[in-house]
Amino acid sequence: MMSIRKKVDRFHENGILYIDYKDVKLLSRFITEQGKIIPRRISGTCAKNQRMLVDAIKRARFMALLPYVSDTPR
Amino acid sequence: MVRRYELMVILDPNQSDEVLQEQIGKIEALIKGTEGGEILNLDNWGKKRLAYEIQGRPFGVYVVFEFNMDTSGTTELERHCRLDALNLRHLLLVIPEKVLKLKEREKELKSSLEERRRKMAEQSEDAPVVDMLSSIVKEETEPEEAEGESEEKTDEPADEADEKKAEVAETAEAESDEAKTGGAES
Repeated sequence: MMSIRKKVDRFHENGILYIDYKDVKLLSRFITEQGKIIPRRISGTCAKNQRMLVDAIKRARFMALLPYVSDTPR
Repeated sequence: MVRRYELMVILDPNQSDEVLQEQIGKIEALIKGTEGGEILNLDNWGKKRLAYEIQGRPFGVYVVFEFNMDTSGTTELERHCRLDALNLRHLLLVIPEKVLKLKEREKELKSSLEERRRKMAEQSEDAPVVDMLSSIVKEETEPEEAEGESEEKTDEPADEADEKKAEVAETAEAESDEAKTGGAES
């Protein structure tokens, strides 16, 4: 049996109201090794924050702060 | 209408610092040249590795401008960024009032959260002090037991130690040790 853990929005937890595309360290926790955005059913992020997160990640990708694809796992 | 903007540019890393400074100066001049233009923050991140190559370059010099400017200046600024060959990429964003307010509230929230965490940390720090004390008390009482235990676990060295002790003619101690180890074996 998988243990059922309550999903927590990590932005609520840390008092983050605006997700900035420049905060690479934060954003990189919400992408997979391949560079995909982690769905909210897994990360537990609330809908509002997920929308903001997606915008931020896409902006960061455009400015080469995050990869569009990366096959080499870090 | 004056709005808050944020401009991030990636400049060619192969250029000398002087050329880069000139580039930054040009953008600054453009911003200040328009109505209501004032630079609030200029953040030079320096040379950074890009997540993927842009125009065959693995590095880029990141510069972030935060400024107030009249909306009429955006076209000129965009044009300059697009046509400048040393500018690998740029991103000009309007920062809405809403976001500014959010950022302010975020600061308050974070400081209050920090305070709460500090209090929690203080409370949890109190607990370890008690633990430390109890562990000291334990250490004072434990050593005799600990010796016995170590001898029980490692039978051979214990026997050797017993022999040595016997040689030094501390027979009483040796007997008591043997009694302990014997007790463990049975």
